[in-house]
Amino acid sequence: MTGAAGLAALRGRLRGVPWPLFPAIAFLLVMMVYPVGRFLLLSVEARGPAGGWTTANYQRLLDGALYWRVLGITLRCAGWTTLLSVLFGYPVAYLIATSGNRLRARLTFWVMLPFWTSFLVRTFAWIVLLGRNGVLNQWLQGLGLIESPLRLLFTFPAVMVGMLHALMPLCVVTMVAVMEGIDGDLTRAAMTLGAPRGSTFWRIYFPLSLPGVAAGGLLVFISALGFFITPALLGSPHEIMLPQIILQQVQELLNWNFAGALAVLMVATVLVAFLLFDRLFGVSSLTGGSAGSRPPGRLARAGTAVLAGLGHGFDALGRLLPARRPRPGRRPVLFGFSLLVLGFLALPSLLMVPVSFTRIPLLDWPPQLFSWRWYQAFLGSATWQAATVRSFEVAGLTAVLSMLIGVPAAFGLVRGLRRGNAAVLALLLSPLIVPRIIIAVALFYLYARLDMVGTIAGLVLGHSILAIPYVVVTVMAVLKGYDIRLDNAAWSLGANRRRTLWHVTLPLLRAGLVAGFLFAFVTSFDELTIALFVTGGLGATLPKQMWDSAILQVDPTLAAVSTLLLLLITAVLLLAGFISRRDRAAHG
Amino acid sequence: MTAKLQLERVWKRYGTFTALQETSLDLREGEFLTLLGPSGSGKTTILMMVAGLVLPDGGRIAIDGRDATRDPPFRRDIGMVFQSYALFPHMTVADNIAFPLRMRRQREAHVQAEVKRVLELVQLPHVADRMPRQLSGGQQQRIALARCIVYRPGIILMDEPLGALDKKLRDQLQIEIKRLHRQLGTTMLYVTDAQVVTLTMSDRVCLMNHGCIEQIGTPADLYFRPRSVFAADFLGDSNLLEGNILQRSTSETLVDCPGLGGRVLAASGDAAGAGPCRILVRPESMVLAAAAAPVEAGCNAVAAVVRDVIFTGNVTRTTVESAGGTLLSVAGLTHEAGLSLPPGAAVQVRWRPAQTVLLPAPR
Repeated sequence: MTGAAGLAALRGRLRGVPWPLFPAIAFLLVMMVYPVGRFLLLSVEARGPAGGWTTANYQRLLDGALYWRVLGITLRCAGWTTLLSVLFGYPVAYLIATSGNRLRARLTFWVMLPFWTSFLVRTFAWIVLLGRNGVLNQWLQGLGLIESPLRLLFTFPAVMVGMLHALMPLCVVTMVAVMEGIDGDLTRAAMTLGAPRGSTFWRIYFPLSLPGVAAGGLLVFISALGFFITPALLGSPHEIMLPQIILQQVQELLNWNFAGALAVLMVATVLVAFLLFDRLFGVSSLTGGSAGSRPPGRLARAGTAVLAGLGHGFDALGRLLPARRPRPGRRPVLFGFSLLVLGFLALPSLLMVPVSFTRIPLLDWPPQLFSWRWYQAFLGSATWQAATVRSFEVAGLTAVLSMLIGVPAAFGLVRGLRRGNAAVLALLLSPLIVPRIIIAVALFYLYARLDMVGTIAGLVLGHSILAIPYVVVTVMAVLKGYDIRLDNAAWSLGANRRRTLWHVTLPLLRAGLVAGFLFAFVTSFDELTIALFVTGGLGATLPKQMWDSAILQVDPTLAAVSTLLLLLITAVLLLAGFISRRDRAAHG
Repeated sequence: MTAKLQLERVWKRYGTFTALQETSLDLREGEFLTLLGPSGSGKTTILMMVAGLVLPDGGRIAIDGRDATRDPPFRRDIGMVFQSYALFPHMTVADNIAFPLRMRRQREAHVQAEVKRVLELVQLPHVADRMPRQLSGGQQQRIALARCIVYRPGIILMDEPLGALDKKLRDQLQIEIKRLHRQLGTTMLYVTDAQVVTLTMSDRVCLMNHGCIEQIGTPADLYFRPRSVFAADFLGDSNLLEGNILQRSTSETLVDCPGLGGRVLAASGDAAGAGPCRILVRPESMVLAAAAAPVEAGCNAVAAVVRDVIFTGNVTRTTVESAGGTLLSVAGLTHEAGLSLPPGAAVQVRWRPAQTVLLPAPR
């Protein structure tokens, strides 16, 4: 065999290897799977120089009623958050999915608004809203509904409000994605076949939207399990959650091994939730596959009967109402309800704007207008300045790194071999599912030994773990809609792979790439959990700085920073929208 | 006798776009009427209005003589077959077909019997327990039909039900729909932009254009006696030429046709007065003859030169250029001698005056 032929054969064989997936797989194995595994393993390692194995930590876990109570509280919080997110989010998602394009875009903007306000700031906003002299109490007293202020803050409902506010957008967006895939002809067909509106909704639309409800609920539930900032700030000691106990073990008691055992408990809870979901709905509904490839089982039959009953009930109700035919497209009840939910979502972000112009050094309502002093305080402070610069630096580097790793992975998954894809996708998405607090603690443990605590690199690597799933999902979404024949056409016209990628594929995918970059940027920019652990001696990032200053004293500088951030992100979004509109106009 | 379905001066506008101008239309009991037209001509708007899925901005819709204009779809006695089939993906085939019966609260034993009956009617008794996704496109279409006929609606609406199928399957299902129509005697309203469907299945065809009815009549009416250039062009192949009416008598009209390089005779109809007009001659009405062959009195004959001969199986299409410089399409049953006409050969194109259709010149 000649050398050239051998080389060609080798190249042929190498072409089959899914190279684009390797960086992502390697990165997550090294940066996430290994550290988390190491941390969880601590739970069975004996403390002290002697080493060896022990079950003492689990013994302690089993014996301590406290931990089971905390687990109960955690499950209760996550469960209620999930239930309420779905209940309040479903009508909004339904309205969005069944509206015209323009209304849909507008509603989506308002649903996503909380995402663009720092997570911490939103929590402080709820303190201002729910406090003893807060907006709500003042309002209720003003109306004469109550004599003395109610105790709203530091209660279970306050925690619920904060968590619901943080997680409902996620739930709505997930449900909308599934609902948009429901063919409008199906509900039309049901009506022509004799199904009144109630039966049409409950027997056709609702069952078809269930995978979305389940996926949205699962995401909310799993995210809620890892919450600790909201319950810490809005709740009382009765609302203490599992992540807070882990934090306490690590930061105050320095008992890493027991923290590891608690983390195992948490991961196990997540896994059980996941398995239950898979048993009931199949994981494929998470990634956009839908029902209908196998006949319904007994459980589904029972569900169908319940829905049929609901349908008939609503139809009977419909017959009681006057037989007036509502004009299509006008749904006052649905619309009114959705506006209330959207108001709830937008309130904290907007509240901070007037508060930032107050004259007094209190994050309070009503603000004593008008003063620039908190903006001056922010702009005049070297600490805040440094934090801002650092946040941009870290977020920029994170976005670049996660694009470099995530984009090839998305290509590999959509274009590459089918075998093993599910496993790879599961790995790439796992940072969304493993509670963030566990990743943070595990990274801290790793960095401490590598002397990487307090380095920019450490922070960027950590944030990239969280950003990669968003990049992969966003880019995969646009790639799936990309017509591969365009590439084939470019090849047939004489472009090689590299030039095709550069001149045809990437320009057409630009909107998706920009979205992926922005997602990664914002993820890092607003990230607190990992920053709390690994910033160490390094100056803080913006969220960390907010957290630090909030612990010392909450002053309106926070509101000023939040308003500036809201402005900045709105500008970025408008720019991205402009780019994608221009792209669409250019491509027809 | 009242009509099965009556549309009286219904119209619909979306913003500044008029989807349907004031239109009236009647369907007899048991009639198969096709709404034919290009996209955006208003045919689907009519269908959706009859279904109750779109409300007219004005006018009245009556089913069996009863006003149904504002009735919701589920209280009209109609069934609809969608282009996308709209089979419920989370139900088995049997549950899909049973759905309309269950909505009507019929006894379960009766439901099962009916499902079995229609599955046999569409010749798919073995797929009852499958999910729609497990069926082929043609099978899904038949199940959609079965689901629609199982509850014996008074009117069946079909929105391009064959549009997504390949040609062979389309032809086969067309025949099947026609058979079902004969068997059931149901009134059918069918929407399509494919001309062939129209000719095979319809009792009457309603040709739509720009939100208006262009012409309504039997398929033969529309084919042989189109009343406008649009109708002539939309249905079948045609040779359309500009002309000028010179002289009319009770039996014949003489038209000057510069495109053919001479005058042609048409049987007198009522379509055109004097002055500019269009003439239509279908390709299969024209016959090729040797250039020197003697012409029968009263027959049109135009000298021409062969440009192209296309053999399409049982029919051969010949393109010729007339003395006036116009390309004409002539179609005839294939015979071997006709295939050997060389390009450039001089021929004569002939047709009877009765086969010349006079159309008004478009404004």
